[in-house]
Amino acid sequence: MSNNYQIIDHEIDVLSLVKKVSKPEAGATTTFIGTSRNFTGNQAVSYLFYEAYESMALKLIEKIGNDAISKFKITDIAITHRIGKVVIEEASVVIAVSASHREPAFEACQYAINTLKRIVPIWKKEFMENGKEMWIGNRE
Amino acid sequence: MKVKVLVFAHIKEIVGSGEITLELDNGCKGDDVLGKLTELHPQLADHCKYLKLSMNGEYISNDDQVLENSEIAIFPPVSGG
Repeated sequence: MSNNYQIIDHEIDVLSLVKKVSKPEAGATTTFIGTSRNFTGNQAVSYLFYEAYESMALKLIEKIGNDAISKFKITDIAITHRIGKVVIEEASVVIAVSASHREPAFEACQYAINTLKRIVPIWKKEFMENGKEMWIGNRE
Repeated sequence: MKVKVLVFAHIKEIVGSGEITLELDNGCKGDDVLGKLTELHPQLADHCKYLKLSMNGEYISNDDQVLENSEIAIFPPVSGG
């Protein structure tokens, strides 16, 4: 398993992902950072909790990365998803993509996050400020 | 045959554990795993229609045959990211 694909239970170091995909021939690096938001609908969110089917999730995250490399003219890609408690403003997922030029880097980054949200077996639980908690199904 | 079943998110909370072993008939399908689990945990009946299945880390459909000693996972639609 490549070190470019990780599921971790602590804060994601965004710069470390950027460094992983840094290459002499890359003229553009894009990043996507998904962070915990303090509201859902009209309810105040206190924090999020993520659970993963880790072995399958890692396999699919690696497949998304490999597919992105096949589909777009990119140099490299790195994806890290965090599990456990993620407080407001902290990142739950970070994707970094390097490419010779910016267009494929943007496209591959969007492809990777959209596909991750659709197929990777990770689930989010919202803990509300009013004390309620709720597992979230796919809304997209 | 014995099959290891992993469950996640609110399904894990209903079952009360993340992993159970079920005794199933040879040649059974994904639907039969859901049926057996629902027999043991009737509250799952309301959830079955949207649950996803995987076998040994790959998505399967409810009609796919379940293999002996495989690892089945049952989970709600994903919500990562």
